[in-house]
Amino acid sequence: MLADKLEQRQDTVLRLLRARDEEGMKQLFTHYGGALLTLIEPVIERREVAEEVLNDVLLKIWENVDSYDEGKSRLFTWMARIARNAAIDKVRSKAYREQGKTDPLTPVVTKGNNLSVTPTMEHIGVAKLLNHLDADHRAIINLLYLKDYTQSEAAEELGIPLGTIKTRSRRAITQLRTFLQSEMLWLALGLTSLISLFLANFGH
Amino acid sequence: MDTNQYIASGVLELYVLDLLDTSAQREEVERYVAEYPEIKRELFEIETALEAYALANARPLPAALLVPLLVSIRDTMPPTVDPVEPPMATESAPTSPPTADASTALPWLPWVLAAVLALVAAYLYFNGKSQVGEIEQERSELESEFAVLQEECDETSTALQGSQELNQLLTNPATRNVILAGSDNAPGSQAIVFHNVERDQTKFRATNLPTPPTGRQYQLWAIGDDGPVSIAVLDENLDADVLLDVDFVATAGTFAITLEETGGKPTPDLSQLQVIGEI
Repeated sequence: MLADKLEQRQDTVLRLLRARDEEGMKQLFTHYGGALLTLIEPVIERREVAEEVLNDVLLKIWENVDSYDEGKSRLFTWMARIARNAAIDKVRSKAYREQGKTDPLTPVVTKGNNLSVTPTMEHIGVAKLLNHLDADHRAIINLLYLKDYTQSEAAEELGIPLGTIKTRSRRAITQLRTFLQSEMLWLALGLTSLISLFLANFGH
Repeated sequence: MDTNQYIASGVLELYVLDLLDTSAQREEVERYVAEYPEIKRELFEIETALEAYALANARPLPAALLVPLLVSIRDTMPPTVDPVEPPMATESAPTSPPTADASTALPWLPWVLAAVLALVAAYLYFNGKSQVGEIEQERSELESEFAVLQEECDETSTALQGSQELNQLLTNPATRNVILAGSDNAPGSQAIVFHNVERDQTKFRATNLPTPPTGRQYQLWAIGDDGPVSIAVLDENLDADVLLDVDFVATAGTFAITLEETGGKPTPDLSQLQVIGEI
């Protein structure tokens, strides 16, 4: 199941990081770096600055992994919070604002639909999720999660009442979860039927 | 506590999305997560879903970004680190497919078929059961969404009804608009009265009245056959946009506002006249 693969990956990376093994940093970079950058980019428009922040974030994770508490959240949630806070701190910093003033012509990076997929993501099959998700569910998760909109900003953008954001985001995430959980059951059922067919044929 | 209802409310999703407004709300979630295992399980599943979503949206990173990271950590690491842990990426190996021998397959075939059928039945049973659970949960989510929408709808209809009534009054031919202009005491002040003797209604709006000094309040008077009659003592911080319902005096010919001590007075102090207007 996809969820199990995510679990395994988390455990491996966590164990390597805690052992201060350089391989841990490599896997952290390969498996989670792109996803963390996805959370930083909506806050910081300039790609090279976003990458700088990502660099700091990964080092911070490396240095502070001992303060991560497995009982409170998943590893990625903890890392995502570090990434988002670092991005927001960067935007508020004096140096960043001054850079913005002296360099007003920097084009804003547009994040269109060019969401290509890394090979490592492909092999655990996460990318398929996006195809399954309904368009309006995808829209609300994009705004709230990837683009860091507040509830009222998202309500305005989507043209729905503020009071329904909570239930809609829940429904969207629930759909996502269904896809994560459902895959393996069908595979198991298919396999048993195949075996029985095979045996039945030999019987005659 | 009804944990199912709590889970269905969507508050856990907002918690993971970091969208709860106050730290009190966040602490409440953390308390429940520590207390109820089913809430904790739910929270971790939500986190997994969003993690998968972020991964699915990730773009590849240029490998060049890894180099400075490795340099940085080598600088901080003690030099003698044995790579005890082999880099592992063990996907659990699939169990080897069963090989069936034709001669031995036959005797236990019915058992195998029965087992497969039992498996299928069990699967269908549990799948159906979990679907019922999901539908139940969805229903309670929809109910809560419906309640929100119903409430908004009720509020909107009440507001609309109010506006329609007001519109009828203001466009009624018998309604007189009386502009109360500033007196010498307050030349810049202004207010307006809508007075309708057919519908026995008077409404008031303070279009421009400065905040009264402490210990004082504006008092609105209708002056008619019985002399000045108090029809309202205005709130100290009255909003200029509010249209107030005030007492109706049938014979009123003039409306005026004076500045009186807090709580108002039975008769006006005309030396404190602020605005005045005749029908």
